[in-house]
Amino acid sequence: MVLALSDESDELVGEYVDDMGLRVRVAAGAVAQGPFMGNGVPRTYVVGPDGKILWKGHPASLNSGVLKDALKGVKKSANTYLAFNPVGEYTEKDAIKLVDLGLEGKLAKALKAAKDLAADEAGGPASVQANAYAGEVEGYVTLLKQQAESFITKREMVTGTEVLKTLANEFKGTDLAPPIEERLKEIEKDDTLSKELEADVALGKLKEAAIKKGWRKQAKKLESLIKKYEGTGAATKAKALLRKANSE
Amino acid sequence: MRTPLPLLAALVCLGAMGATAAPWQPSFQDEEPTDVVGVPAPELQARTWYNHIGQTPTLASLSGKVWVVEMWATW
Repeated sequence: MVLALSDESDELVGEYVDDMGLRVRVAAGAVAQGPFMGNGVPRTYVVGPDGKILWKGHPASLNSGVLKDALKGVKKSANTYLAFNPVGEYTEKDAIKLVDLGLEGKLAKALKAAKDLAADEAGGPASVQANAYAGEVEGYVTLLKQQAESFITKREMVTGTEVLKTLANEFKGTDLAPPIEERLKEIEKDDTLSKELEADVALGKLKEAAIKKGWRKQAKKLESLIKKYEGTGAATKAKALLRKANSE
Repeated sequence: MRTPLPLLAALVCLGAMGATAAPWQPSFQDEEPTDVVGVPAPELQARTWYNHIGQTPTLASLSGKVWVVEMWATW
């Protein structure tokens, strides 16, 4: 996982992430502490699975050998936000199994198994841990739903609805799914939100095309998107991108 | 973290963007630890995350994973 930290403002960093089409995780308003403190940027640190720093240097001198060495013997966690690393300590064998399921991104399966184990009166300490784990998973689902809503508020409709769809799909058949499915239907029926979504999908396609061909060639399409979806979040973003396209 | 190479490309790309060597934050100018290899990484402190869905990266959420931190700036 790559985490790119800047101490600059949200405005500056957010605009940069959009303009450059950055896909790695980026943070604004960061404060470097202890061993991460330093004089120059960019500087890079590789941290091992035990939380200790393995390498420090300029990103240009970080080679794949360093990363391959670092990754040796590391359990692969699923490359999805459904992969959940709990905060609590889970020491019982059956509780560790739950944690492993969650790390693989099998969140619904992990939650069901945790609830079953928690309900097992003869389960002893494993039941207690399973109960705590189930609580953590439910809290995490709530967090993901909140994040989805925050994307929707920011008119990043594709990302927001994708998170909701992923959750609805993962928890299909459980009592967590119906409210999420309801919310998705509500978005579909809402004139404003459905238009926002359509506009965001269209903008996403232009962004993909721009990565391959550059923004200049997308200018006309940006103009028609702005016209067609006037007043949407995507149109506002498209206006900024059009200025960029025209200056390229 | 699956394939190291795209990550490297992303990092080098970020590196090139912020290639000017200059202080990251004024308060960091004085003491840059010299030998940090083997030292436990500190907790990450950041206000806003982009391109991130899910758990806020913390030492607990990152434990068991290999992670790469890049200190960079837009200028």
